Amino acid sequence: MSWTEFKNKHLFSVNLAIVAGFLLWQVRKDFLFHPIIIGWLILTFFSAKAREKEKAVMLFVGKVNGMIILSVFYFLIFSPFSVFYRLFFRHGSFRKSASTFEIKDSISPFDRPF
Amino acid sequence: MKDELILGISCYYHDSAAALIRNGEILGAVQEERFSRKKHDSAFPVESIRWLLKENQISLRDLTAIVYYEKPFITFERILETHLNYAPMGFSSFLKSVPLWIKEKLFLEKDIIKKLKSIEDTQFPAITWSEHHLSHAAGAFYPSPFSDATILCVDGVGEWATTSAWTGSGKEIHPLWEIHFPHSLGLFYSAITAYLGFKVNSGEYKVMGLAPYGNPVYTDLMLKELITLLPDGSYSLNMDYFEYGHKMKMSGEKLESLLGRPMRKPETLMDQFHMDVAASLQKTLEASLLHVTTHLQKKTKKKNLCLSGGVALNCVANSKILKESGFETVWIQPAAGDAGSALGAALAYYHLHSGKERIVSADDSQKGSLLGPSFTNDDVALYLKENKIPFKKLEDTDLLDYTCKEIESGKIIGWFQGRMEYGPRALGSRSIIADARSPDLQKTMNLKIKFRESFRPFAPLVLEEDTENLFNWKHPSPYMLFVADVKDSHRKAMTSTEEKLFGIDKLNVIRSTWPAITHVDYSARLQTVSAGRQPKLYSLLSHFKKRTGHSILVNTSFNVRGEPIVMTPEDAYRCFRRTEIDILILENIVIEKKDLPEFKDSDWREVFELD
Repeated sequence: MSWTEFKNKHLFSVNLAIVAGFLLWQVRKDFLFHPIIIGWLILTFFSAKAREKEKAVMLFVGKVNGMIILSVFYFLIFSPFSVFYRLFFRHGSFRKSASTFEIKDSISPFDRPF
Repeated sequence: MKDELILGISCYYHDSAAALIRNGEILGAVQEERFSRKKHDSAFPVESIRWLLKENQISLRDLTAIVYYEKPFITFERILETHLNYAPMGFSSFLKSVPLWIKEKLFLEKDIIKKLKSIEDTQFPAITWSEHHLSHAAGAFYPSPFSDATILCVDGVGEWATTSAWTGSGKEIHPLWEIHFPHSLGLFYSAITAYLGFKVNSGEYKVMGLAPYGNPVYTDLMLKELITLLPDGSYSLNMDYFEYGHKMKMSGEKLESLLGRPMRKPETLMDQFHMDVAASLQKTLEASLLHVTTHLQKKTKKKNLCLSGGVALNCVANSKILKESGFETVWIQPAAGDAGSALGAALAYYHLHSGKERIVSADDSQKGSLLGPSFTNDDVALYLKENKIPFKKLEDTDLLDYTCKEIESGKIIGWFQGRMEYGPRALGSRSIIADARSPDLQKTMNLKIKFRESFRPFAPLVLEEDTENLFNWKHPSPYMLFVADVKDSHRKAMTSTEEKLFGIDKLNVIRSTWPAITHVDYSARLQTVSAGRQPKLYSLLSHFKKRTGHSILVNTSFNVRGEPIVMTPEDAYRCFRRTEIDILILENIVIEKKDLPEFKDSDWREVFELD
């Protein structure tokens, strides 16, 4: 098996098995469930379906994790900061005014994306 | 002197496209949806760029510049500030948009380079960036026939700007003002479009077609509650009624209680209420645009106006602007939506960044907006022979005779000629054409050929020199961006019973000599044809006039509902077989349905998502 094939097909499963094994040892301080991890790792070497399932589960876990992190950020940091934003930095178009014209006198240079 | 070849790109929101210019001249421009067969495709325009390079026999390394049509960091700033303005509300919208931006859109440069490398692995210039509304403004002004004009861009939203005004003189464009998100005429129109049960970004033109069936009884309410026209010429929206700022939907219960009914579910029955709301929305939009343009004309004191942005595809409002705003002439970029920004970005770079002079053409420099791929008779014949499809080839004069004779006998023709159109309208290169005098044609074409809503009108093709005799209109309209009323002398008087009819029942009343193109309010979405821009189509109309005395034909885009306009002979043949079009004419090659064996194909409804 070439390194490229190993990397594309199996590196994800190997990494996951190492991390799962390490975490289990940290939590339980024994090797009771490690044979299951090794068994699953061996299965992924032979079954494309097992590899797909593993990736789908980890994608779901990643999405849930991401949502938790974003939720914490949104409600604990972003939303409190929004109070300051509304008080001091609010964009003119979100305020009521007698005109919505924003006078524009120059064009942003082409060499920058802002 | 080395040629300046500039590639403009627009993508990742809707209607992605690419355009190529050489020394300021448009070489080609095309929307990715035509290649991918996915309507409003937002993907990076790989195939469009590949075609532009191949067609013009150049490599990516020959390019002087590659210009993206928007400034992504400013758009991200707007999204963040909008969420800050509404937080802690808007969490679900934050969850959807922010990760996408952090993962992909902030690294747009890398992504564009990767995609270009997939086309050709070579060295090419660094990516440059044009402001969204500058791309619109440049796309409207530089190809226009004006050396001096006011420019107005009106769309949903760019970075911050939703409406912007500019002046153009020679090769220079100067900004005047912008109106910023969330105040947006485009989003206002889209919000009510969604309320009426149509899709945002594609249903707006259906609402425009629905409006004449209704009475604008809610206009005053809309102008009182939803939108305020401010004394200095600007406007503001009452955001209590709209939810697009912080939710993944356009409006909510408050708008429903204001209008007195819940939102219509897609594909359910429409009644007079929905038509009245559409009529009111259209009137409100027209009043708002007139408010902005009349102030703008007074301020700039210019005679000419250039329009762009998705709202500029509203041809009813465009006609009002031309008649009532004080501007004497109006030119509108035919690909007024984001697709046209690919061209605008390239032109903006050439004239504003490189400082190159501009040559103004008396007609315009848009080349009839026929800027896409074309196919020769040999290409067509090769495809047909490979697929064992029987056909006959006619010389030009015989083809015109044959086509006119068949149209006169009531046949519906798939007409595929020359370069494909750039923009959402079929302008006679990829069109379905028929006799406008037929009383049942509108219904037949809507239900059996286009498979779309029966209320939708069809547009007329007419010889430019005949326009004034047939319609109350004296300006050229080569890009189908204005409406005009059928002249009184060609209208048919309605009986008192017919006068009392409402809504769609009016559709069946014969209202003019050309019922298929006459809307219920006697208006028609006009396309004038000149010999200079479209010689073959001009000859066809002239020939038809010799035979019948009139130069009007029905023109609708060559596609079915939800399908992008056909691009290749293969697309055209497939569409021809899926519908009740009688005859397909590909360049000089004729295919008659009666000569063909049975066609087995998947149901088009499974292939194309309804728009």
